[in-house]
Amino acid sequence: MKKVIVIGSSTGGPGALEDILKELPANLPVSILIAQHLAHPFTKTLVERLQIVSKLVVSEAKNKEILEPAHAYVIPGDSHCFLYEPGPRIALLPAEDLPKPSVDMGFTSVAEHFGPDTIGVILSGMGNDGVIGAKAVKQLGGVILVQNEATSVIFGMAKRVIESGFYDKILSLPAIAAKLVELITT
Amino acid sequence: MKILIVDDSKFMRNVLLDILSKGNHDLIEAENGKIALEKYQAEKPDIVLLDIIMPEMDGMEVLKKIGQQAKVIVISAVGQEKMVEEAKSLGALNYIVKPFDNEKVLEVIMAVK
Repeated sequence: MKKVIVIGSSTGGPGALEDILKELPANLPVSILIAQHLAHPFTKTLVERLQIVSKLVVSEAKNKEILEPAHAYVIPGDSHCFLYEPGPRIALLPAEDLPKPSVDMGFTSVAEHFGPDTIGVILSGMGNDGVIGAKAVKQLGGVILVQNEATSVIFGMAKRVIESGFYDKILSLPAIAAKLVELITT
Repeated sequence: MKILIVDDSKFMRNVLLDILSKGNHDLIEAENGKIALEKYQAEKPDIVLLDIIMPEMDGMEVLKKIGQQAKVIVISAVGQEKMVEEAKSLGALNYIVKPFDNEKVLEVIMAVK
């Protein structure tokens, strides 16, 4: 598996995630790591929602799990997620601070392991979690896509990332899935 | 100076090797805490650049063993302030937060006496 997708989202994220995941093909040769700000029991519900619409395998991320292709991992709401070798595999650390799971930590760790093969996506949401993560991805040669204002429920995180300059493209929600497939297959 | 770079990500070790290769340093790598301890004993580096989250033995475990004798700079990520404090109490001299700028790494290395 060469590339990886990491997605960060908050308010308005679950709906946007459904729209993206339903468009991705079953044989997608990459893993997707999802950092959606959500309390713990609700990340389980999100997994169920996403599994209904997606052709990929969707599950809550578990400690020590090796990343598999065609699989979307939702980080549990009570954890921050890092990757470690060999694998790379998932390490979940208990999260006390808000927001959680941290988009910044997830993006930074994915970028560390996949470097230029990292594709980060910032979707709808409030706050500025994701700016540092986007910086990490861009610094290490990866690509950052952000959801545009018109299709966002809350244009906060994406706006902050755009202001920081650490992004490549601003896209409408329907255009994001198509761009992901293009980036992965080229 | 002889510098031991400890990080489980080969990509990050390469990033650090690239940054530090511009100075006149002798660079050694280790991909986990266990190997880091072996290389520390064998090579006696002047500085240890130590990632916190690693398999086998993490950065904290390494610090417990060598924190009082080695000059250790911890590499942490955003949001790991508590771990940085713990690392300092175990003897770490300084820390670098990821994502870092190349200049910051060189600055912190140069500041080690």
